[in-house]
Amino acid sequence: MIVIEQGESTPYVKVDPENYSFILKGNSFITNPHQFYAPVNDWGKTYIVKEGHILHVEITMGYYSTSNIQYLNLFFKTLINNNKGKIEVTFYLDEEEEEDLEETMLSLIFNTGLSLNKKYL
Amino acid sequence: MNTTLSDKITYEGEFSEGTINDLLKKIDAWPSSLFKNKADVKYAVIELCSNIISHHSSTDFGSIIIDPQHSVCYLEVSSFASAKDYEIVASILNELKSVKDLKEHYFSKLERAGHAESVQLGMLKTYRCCNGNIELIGKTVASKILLTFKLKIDDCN
Repeated sequence: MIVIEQGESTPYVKVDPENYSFILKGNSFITNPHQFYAPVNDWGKTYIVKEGHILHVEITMGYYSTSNIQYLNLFFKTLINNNKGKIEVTFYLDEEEEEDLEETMLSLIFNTGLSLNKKYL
Repeated sequence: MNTTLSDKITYEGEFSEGTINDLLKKIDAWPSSLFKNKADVKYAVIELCSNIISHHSSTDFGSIIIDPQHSVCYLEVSSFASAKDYEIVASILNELKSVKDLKEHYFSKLERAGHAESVQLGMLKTYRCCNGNIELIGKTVASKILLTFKLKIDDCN
């Protein structure tokens, strides 16, 4: 299990493989995403979801810098490519912010094969 | 609506992620009757201030003015850079002027994961936030360049 509390420029992160849950919540505009997300990235590079299970990724949207989007998109591509059909990503957002956050959501899952699945808070 | 002193945001000093966070909170605090398109202002602030911290600046020192007026927000961000970094940023902005589909261009850059693409993505996002209403000014101060971005961000209806 990996838990990182929310910071001024970083989201709350909880990776709970035993319960097939991955949570990101809040803004992400840290200037060195490689360093911040290193533990999560190390986990994601080798993680395989067991047969018959689905890893639920829940992202409560905030504002992301492009460098953080770029990093996380690569991370999700690897995770999803290694676990085809076994990853489900859901975005949570305020309805009134939908237009402002739409492109960021699409960018995070760009070229992963997933379609945009969003729910309003 | 006239802008009051409390609506205009200014900062000068060392930039950190905490500085960006404080600026975003101040923008959030604007009444929507003053300026609705807060998202584009926030994205531009994130990208330009992140540049001061990580990309082109030789120090983390800089200044920012965010001035919401009726139907438009003026944003001015300054920091020191090398002559080479100034040329890189100027070249990126110049290239963007001829790009027809900026959204498609953004996603094509997102595909590539190098540092150069990261800088280009940041400038592209900034450029789109202000619909290309961006001016880059480079002023030589001693051996450095004082780099100033001046943006005009339109409000939404």
